[in-house]
Order: sequence, then C-alpha cells, then structure tokens
Amino acid sequence: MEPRQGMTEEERFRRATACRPALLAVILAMTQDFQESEDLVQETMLEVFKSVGSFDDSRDFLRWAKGVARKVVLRHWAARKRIPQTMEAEALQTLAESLAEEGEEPALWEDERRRLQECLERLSERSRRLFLLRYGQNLKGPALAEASGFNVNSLRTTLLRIRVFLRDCLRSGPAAMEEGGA
Amino acid sequence: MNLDFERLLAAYLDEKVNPEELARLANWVQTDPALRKRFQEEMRLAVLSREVARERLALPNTETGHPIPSSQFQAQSSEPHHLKPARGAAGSRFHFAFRVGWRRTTDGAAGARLQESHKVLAVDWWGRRLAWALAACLALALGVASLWMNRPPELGSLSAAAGQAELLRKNQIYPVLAGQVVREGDRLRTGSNGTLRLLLTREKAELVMAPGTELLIENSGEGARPNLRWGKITGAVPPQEPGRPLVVQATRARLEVVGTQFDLAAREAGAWLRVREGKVRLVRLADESSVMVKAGEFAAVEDGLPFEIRRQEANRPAALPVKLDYAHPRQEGDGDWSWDGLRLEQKRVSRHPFLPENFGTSKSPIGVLEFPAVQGGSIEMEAAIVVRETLARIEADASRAFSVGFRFRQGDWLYQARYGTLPEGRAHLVLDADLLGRGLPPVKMASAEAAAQWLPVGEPWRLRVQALAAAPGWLRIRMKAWAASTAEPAQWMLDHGMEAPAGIDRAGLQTTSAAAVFTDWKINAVENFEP
Repeated sequence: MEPRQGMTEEERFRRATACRPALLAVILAMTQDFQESEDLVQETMLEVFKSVGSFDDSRDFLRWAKGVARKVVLRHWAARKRIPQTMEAEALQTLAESLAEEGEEPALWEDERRRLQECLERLSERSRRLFLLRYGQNLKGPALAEASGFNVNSLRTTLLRIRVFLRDCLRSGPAAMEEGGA
Repeated sequence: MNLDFERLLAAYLDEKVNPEELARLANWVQTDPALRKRFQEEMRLAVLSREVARERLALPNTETGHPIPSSQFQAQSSEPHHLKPARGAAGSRFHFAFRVGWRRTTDGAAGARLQESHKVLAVDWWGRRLAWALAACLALALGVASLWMNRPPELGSLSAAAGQAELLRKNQIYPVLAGQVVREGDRLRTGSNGTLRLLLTREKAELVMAPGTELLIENSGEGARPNLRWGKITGAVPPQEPGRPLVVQATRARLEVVGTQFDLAAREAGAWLRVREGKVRLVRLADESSVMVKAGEFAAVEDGLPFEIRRQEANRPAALPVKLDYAHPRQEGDGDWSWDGLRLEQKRVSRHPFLPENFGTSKSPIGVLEFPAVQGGSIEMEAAIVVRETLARIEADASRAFSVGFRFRQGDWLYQARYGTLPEGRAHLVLDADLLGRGLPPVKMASAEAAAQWLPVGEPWRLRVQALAAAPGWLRIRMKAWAASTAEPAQWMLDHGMEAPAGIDRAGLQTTSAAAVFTDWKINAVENFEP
C-alpha cells in the first residue's frame, strides 16, 4: 500500500518513538513483568520502524502499533514454548486489548512522569525504597520482602497504599499531598 | 468501588494470579467500562512508575555532593532470581514474619479512601474466610513469631550500588540492589570495580564503600555501628544527637563522628583517617588515647607511625603567576617565595654566584605533597613547569658542555638531580623527597624523566614524579624549580670529593639564575592508601 501524503518519514518515526510508553503498557498487561516487557517493546519498535514507512496515515497509528505489540508477545510465547493456558492467554489478551482504545498524548505522558517524580518525594523514605525495589529493580513477592524488609503479608497492602497515594497525587498535584503520606 | 476487582487488580499487578482469577479480572475489564478505565489507569501508573524508578536509580546522588562521582552509579537490571543465594549456599532465603501494630494512616482524602478501602477489604476477607484466616494466623503466630522476633533489626539501606558487590547475610551471599535493607550482622563487600552507597537509618549518615572494601554492620544498641574490616569508606554524617556520635570501628582504631565528612581506610596494619569537614575523634584502641582530627587534617593508627595529626597540603591545583622583583637580590639561596595556598609569588630572585653553599639545604615552599604511606606505597603525580625568565647567559666555555646525573643524601633528604650546562634560556629542576620519622633510605625516587632535562623558557614542560616509600611513614614530595649554573654543581661535586666529568673548566663557567613555576598539579595515582 502506498503511504498517504501529509506526513514525512521522520515524523512517522518520531510518532512511533513517542508511543513507546503506551506499547509498554500493552505488553506489560500480557507479561506482567517489566524486564520482559521492555525487551519486547524493543522488538515491537523494530517491527513498527520496519513498517512505518508504508503506514497509511488514514489509519489509527497507535491502535495499529498496539496490535503489533500484541503480536510480538504472542510470537514470543510461541518461541519460548511456554504459551500460557488457553484461558490465561485469552484473559491476558483481553486485558491488553482493553488498552488499545486508550488515546495517546505523548506530552501528557511526559507531564505525568514529571509530576510523578515530584510525588515520589512526598512518599516516606521506607515507602520510596519499596517503590524503587518494586518498580526500579522489578522485584516481587518473597524476593521483594527480603530486599525491602517488609513482611510478605504486608507487602500487598503497602504497595496498594503507595499506588493510591501516587494516583491521588497525580490527580491533585504534589502540593496538595502531605509529605511522607504513604 | 468493586473491592473484589480492586483486590484482584492489586494481585495481578504485584504477584501472580491463577487463571480463574485472571479470567474474572479480564471479564470485568471487558464488560464494565468503569472498571476498564480503572485498569487502564492502573497500567498507566505502572508504566510511569517503572520509568520514574529506573530514572531515579540511574540518577547521580546530588544530595550529598559527595566527592566520589555519583555517575558511577548506574541502575542495575535486577530480576528476582538475582536475589537467590549463591549456588551452594545452604538454607532458605525466605523470611516469614508476623507484625503486630497500629497502621499509620494519612490525613486527607487519600488517607480516608485508604482507610475505607482497607476496612472493607478486610471485612470482605474475614467474612468469607474467617475460619481459615484465624487458623492461618494462629499457625503463623505460633510458628514464625519467634523468627520475626529473632530477625536482626534494620539499621540502614543501600541507596545505590554499582559493579561487583555482595551482601553476606547468615552465610548466604546475595547480590546487592539499590533500596535493599541492611540488617545487623550483614557484611557488605565490594569487588574490584564495585561501589556501594549505604544510608544509615537513625544516623542519616551516608557511607560510600570504595572498591575492594568489606563493611560489617554491627548494632550499637542505639543504631548502626559500622565496622570497616578492610578497604576504604567515605562518610558524610549530619550532626548527631548530643552524646550519641556515630561510632565507626576500624583496625586498631575507632572513630567517633558527631557530624562531618571523612575518608577512612583500614588494612591489616592499621587505620587511616582524613577529615574533609567538621571533626572526628580518632581513638587508638591499644591505649584508648585519642586525637581530634579536624577538616583538612589526617591521622593514622599504625605501628611505626606517630599517633598525631598531620595537615595535608597536597593536591591543590596551582596556577602560579610569578612576579619577579630583581631589585632585591638575595644572597641566601634561590629566592623569596610567598604562598597563600592558592597563589604563589616569587618576590626576589637570587643572582649571587655562590649558590652551592645553600644548595643542599634550601627548601622551597613550592609544591609540597604529603601523604601517609605504607611500606611499598607509592605516589605518582604530574605537573607542568614553566621557566619564566633567565637572568644571565653562559658566556664562556659553553661549548664544553657536560651533563651528569647523580644521587646523594644529606641529612634526612634524598636528592636525585641532574646538572648540566646552562645555555641561554634554560634552567634546571631539582626534585627531592623525604620521609619523616624514619632514616634513609626512605624513599626511592623514580624521577629520571623529571630530572633529566633542561627546560626551555616559556614553554610548559610536563614532568612526572614517582616516589616509593620503603617504610611506613609520611611521604613528602617537594618540588621546586630554581636556577643553577654549571659552576655550582661542579664546584660542589669537587668540594665533596666527587669526580667532575671530563672537560669541565671551572674557571670558564658563569653563574646564572632563573625563575620557574609549576602549574597543573595532578595526582595520578596513590597506591595502597590515599587519605
């Protein structure tokens, strides 16, 4: 298919790069693992770059790229011969597809990321440490409990509390949040 | 709020859920627009959190302005399996705990929502699984409470980790991660390229472990008591509560830190301390005597070294503008220099013809580098020397040039120098070094590069100095540039019974003087110990 006029190749590439966080979310929904998701995002980006030159601008670019991301995950599952059970695979795909309809505003991602940095400062030292171990070091379960010093049983509650705090902070702004609030 | 959905979502995000639960979650997301929005929101937050956390771990620590480049610290790719004990390590790495206490809540909307959320979640859980939960709690309480009670207390955490490093806990070895809790009894080790940044919880102190360091975290009863087994740490300690200093243990010594920045190194033979800011009491364990080491000072506890405070004047970059004042020639030596720590001025320049009388004892204040050194310790530094001006010319017999290098000692000084003819526009360099407190030969100078050449006027000439300590002590290197004629060394050699090289005609040689400056001091390497 010949690409429609109106967007240069460079603009398409820039657009593809800007949708990386959204693709990461889709892949994460299927893998539930940051590290694996980031590897697969790289593969997805390669696929997207390969095809972006011939992309028809009349189509929804992000929706198409998210479709590519889902296919990359399915291919990955097939390659490693550890395909989830049917019910599980279907559920994971359903969750990933639910993210397909989400619109994309690269500037909004950037803005939220900046705000989240500030919100992080409002967390208590202990919570911040846990946050960094969970999201930065990609630890879960007993490994996270061991590294963080939290009781295994209280981890879920504490992580939930941190997420609620950060979500509220993103909505209302860091200034509205009490310091050390989670 | 669909609490069942929220519970499942939390489990999906942080753990693994079984296929049935996953299907239930997916069904909710697919059929309920509000829950779908919640799911989208949560996934967005997860991705943002990941990006922000990765960014945070890769960022240098700007809070302390620590001298060790924070850029060394990189975010590490760390998977859960990295936390597994090293192969062959025995026992379990899992800890089960039972905690009893009040949950701290926040004020405001977020706190209220949380409380509500927890409350209803709890009711939901207990309502449906009361019997199971009670039984499980009892079993947990009875079975693992003792484990929890015996669990060593948390004393700090790692705020950054780079390169090879490990944590030894209860005979199990773990790789280290930024954010990891450090407990009493933990041993932190860095490999040859590893660095760790440790934050002590109560003391709010930051300790940076250099490569090749082991730090044992002991409990003082009131907080952490780091024990430097070997290697080097750099500490940034905020003011401590009165009467409760941070105590750091090292070989044969103890530090009592009330608030300061310091460097501490330990080896088998002893401990070395340098204080950057504030003051630190250094206690010698053998007799409990102590010295108070202040900013800019250092001291050591080691056999063969005096237990005293020394000041370090080294490692100052010196751009040295020189002012020459020919109106006041002196007879005593090679000039009158003033040095305020940053700026050097040469006010008078010697022009007299009998330099050799003072040649062996004249000591320039220029460029003194002083380091404590263990036996075999060495220092290598570089500087540039610029000869600004010469004051006389060789007039006669310049064609019969000679050049001779030799070493000699006088008093506590070891000299190695080379002298030669002095054609127009040239001066020469003298390097010397000594080691206080010990007799000669304390220092071997490998200064061939530095002393073997004549220096052209006006052009920077780079020199390299290496000194090796043959015994423990304070290694001092002085560098100075001064004028000499061919006559003086030759005369001096003859006066001291040394044979002058063939071709010297003392009568035909003239005296000259020159002014020279050092610039761009740079210390390349100090092996074994850098205070």
